Amino acid sequence: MKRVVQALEARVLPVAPPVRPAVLRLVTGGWTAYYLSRRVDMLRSIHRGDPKLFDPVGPCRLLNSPLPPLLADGIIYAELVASAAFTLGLKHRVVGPAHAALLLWTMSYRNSWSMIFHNDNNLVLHTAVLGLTPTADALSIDAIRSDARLAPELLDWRYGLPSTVINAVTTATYLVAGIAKLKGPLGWSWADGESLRSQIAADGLRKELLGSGAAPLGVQLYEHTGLFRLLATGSLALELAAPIALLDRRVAKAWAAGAFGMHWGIRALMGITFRHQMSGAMFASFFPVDNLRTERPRG
Amino acid sequence: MTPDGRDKLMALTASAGLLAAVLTPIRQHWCEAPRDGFPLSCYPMFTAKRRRHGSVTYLLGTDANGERRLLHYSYLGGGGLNQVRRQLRRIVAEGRADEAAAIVAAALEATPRRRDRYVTRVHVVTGRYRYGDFFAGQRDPASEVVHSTAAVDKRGTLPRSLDRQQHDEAPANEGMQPSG
Repeated sequence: MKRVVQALEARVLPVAPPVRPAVLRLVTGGWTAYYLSRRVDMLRSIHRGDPKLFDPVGPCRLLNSPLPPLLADGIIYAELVASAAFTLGLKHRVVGPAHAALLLWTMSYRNSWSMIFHNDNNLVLHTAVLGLTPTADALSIDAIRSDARLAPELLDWRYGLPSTVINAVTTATYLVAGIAKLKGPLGWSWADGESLRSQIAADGLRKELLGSGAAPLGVQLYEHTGLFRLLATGSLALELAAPIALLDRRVAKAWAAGAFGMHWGIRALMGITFRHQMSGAMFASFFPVDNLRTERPRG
Repeated sequence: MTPDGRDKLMALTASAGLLAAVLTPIRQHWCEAPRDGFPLSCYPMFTAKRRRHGSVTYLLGTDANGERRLLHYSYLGGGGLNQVRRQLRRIVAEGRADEAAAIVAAALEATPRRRDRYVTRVHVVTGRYRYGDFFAGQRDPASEVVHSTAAVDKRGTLPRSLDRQQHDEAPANEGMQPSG
């Protein structure tokens, strides 16, 4: 029994150096700062939208009506500053939770205007994990200030936990998406490809009629039903089998590569851009991002 | 329990709580009217049963000769195509299509795209299309319902919403069915 507990502990709470979560902080924080800074104008425009279309989600459900636009703008600017400070690892104990809360609010508010986009869920969830765990003990201003070293030679389960939790959260979201397809009106027949083909057609039609243009590849391949069967089966398997990625590091890498490819495939066929997923930042936790040469446990 | 053991227990409890929260929206798929959320979502995208045809509500412009031109969604609002599409559908469902047409006409008057500079009327329409025909090059809708129309005032005054009777008389409406 003790062996089982120890094995489980090693799997769930593996020891790691502080560089491991620090790299994830740099990747995720850097991506967030870049992503939001490119969307300030779009977000400001949303803040000035028709108040009758406000349909709050997440923490924004506390609101009965939209915030004054200038206040909503101000929260974005505050989040931009927080994301920069988070990425640099400055006063992480305060900035980490503040950044996580501000990003949660910003993205929830963005999704509170009659349409929920599902490409930012993991960004918000990963940031919550990284903001609430010790991810700035290396490669950060805090680390330099505390002992003048960018990469302290330590090993501790606290540094292994963030990537474990992030991997679990990521695979859980894919599992939920897979179950959604099975519980939908099509059930297992979703995998026969006809539904995916129709979805791509419906999406392409909307894009054509609303002025942005359908993805040319999706239009060209529309008649190839067999290909859509293959793609539907593959993507459904990838979603339902996502938790298996937690059992083995090589399987995890293969799964992450598959999911990464799936999002690029969606981009090619449908013109839908899942930016966080396609950047690769979302899957960084599935790959070794540190050098495990250090040996001294902390404490 | 040692302080380290206590920390581990707290970390595991918090992690399990987060994971449970992420998985909880699954139950929405057993509800009669699933409600999606953020950041805890039930991911309903791509799950709907679709037929070989579909309806889309969109913005249509016509010039003085009745030439049709599809208008870019951004004339109505920001936030991306899918958000504006959803909002437009909701506006029509709430019986506020006139407002949408007026907003688009005003945007066209203020900052028209080069290709839209001859558009004189804006229509909010719902078209029904067969996917196979559409992607084979047949771009005309099987049917089209006009919800509202607004004139683009080229003299810089506010756009004028037109009633259905005026709209039906306009040559730009050929092939369109007014909404009931």
